[in-house]
Amino acid sequence: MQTEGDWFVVRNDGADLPVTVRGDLGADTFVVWLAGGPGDPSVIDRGEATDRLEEDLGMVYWDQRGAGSAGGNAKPESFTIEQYVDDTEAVVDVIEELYAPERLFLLGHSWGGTLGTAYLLDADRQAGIAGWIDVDGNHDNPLIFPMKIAWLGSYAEGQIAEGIDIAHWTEVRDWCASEPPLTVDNWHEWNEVVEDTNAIFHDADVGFDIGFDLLFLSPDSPLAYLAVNDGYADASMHTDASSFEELSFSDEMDAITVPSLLVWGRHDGIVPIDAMDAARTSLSNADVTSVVLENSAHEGFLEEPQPFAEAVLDFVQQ
Amino acid sequence: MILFGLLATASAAQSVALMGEFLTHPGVVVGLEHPVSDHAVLAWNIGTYVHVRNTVGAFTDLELGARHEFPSRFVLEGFAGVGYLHTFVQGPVYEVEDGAVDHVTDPGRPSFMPTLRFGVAAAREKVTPFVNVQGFGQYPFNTQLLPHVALVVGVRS
Repeated sequence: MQTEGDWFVVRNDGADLPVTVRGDLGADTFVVWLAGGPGDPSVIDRGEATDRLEEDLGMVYWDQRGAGSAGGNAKPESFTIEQYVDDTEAVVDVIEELYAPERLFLLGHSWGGTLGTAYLLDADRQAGIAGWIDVDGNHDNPLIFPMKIAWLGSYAEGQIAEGIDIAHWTEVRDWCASEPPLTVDNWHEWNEVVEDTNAIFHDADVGFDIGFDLLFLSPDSPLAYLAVNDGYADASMHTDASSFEELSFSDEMDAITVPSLLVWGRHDGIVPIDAMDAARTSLSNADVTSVVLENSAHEGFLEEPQPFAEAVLDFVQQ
Repeated sequence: MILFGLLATASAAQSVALMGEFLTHPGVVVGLEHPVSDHAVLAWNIGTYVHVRNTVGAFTDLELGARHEFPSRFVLEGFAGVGYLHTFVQGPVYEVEDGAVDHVTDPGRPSFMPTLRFGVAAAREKVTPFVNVQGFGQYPFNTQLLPHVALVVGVRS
């Protein structure tokens, strides 16, 4: 992990953004992966699916400001969607400079879907992107929060029906039934409860692969994530509550005209599948392909790596 | 380094140790000690470590330590101090200005470095081997204190 591919830092507005480029570095097609969170280490998204993609493509993984092992001294007020987009543009510029791919795709997972959508709304930026891959992306907080609540309420009903921790799940069900509005506090409440569900992984036996190599023999710094960055980006973005609560791109997504692939887990409880339908509707001027991973929740590239990789390869190679 | 060498000739003890930052990121530390009482010492250390494709760290610190030697010559020791850590990116650094990409020279980042270490030693007449577990901080790192942990294995005379 410490010698494969290329590694460098993009320094932008106070943040040091570590970038790893793997796969076919001479490929004519590169994919820049926008991880979720905000704040997730990009390395946890890698596995069988990305290994397969790396056989044919140049794959770019990077830790966004305040995420994973990203360093520097990024201040809380710098965590705005505009700054994230600017950081992404810096990374894209460096990739184009170093590798000159004929075609560059953006792939955004979860929060990365938010970021990629925001990036593409600018016509000049979009002009440099061959296509957009939205993987369980959250493009509209006010629209999608009720979907999250509905999913959680349904999950709670299921737990009650099975006699599991009835008191807790009854409380959750009733909270969901009250249709709590999107606020930073309600978001945190939802976030805390949903961790006890299968919203992220449909199969309880599947999880993030964090082994000895990643902890001790990789460029990543576990302490940087665990002691500093974990929750830092999230908390920083939530200090401007109205920006978070009003973050919505649905009405602007008709500006995205590049071919777009939507990949969703059928059982996603973090960004439920209704959000895919909403995204497809909003991408009214793009040629949109949708793929549903029937046995996955929020991390389809980890739960169904081969179907995920095939969907992406079919899309970028068409 | 010249000052360090000069003081070495007058110090009570000198040490050299291998350092494993987060166990597997190698480094080296050299130190000088002066006794301030029967059980307390003042230590000055200079060191460096490398986390490949992450960081090169160079540091110096001043510590106050305490030791207790048992009749068996087994030693328990502990140190606390403050220091300066300068970190460099262990790889290329690029900046972008108006779309133009520059490969820049990294001047590194200065940090405040509190230190704390505990360990054991086996006192000998000439050379005393020791093993310490060291924690040190790096501030600021994204406006916060980034903790580090290292294993330090060395000898002192």
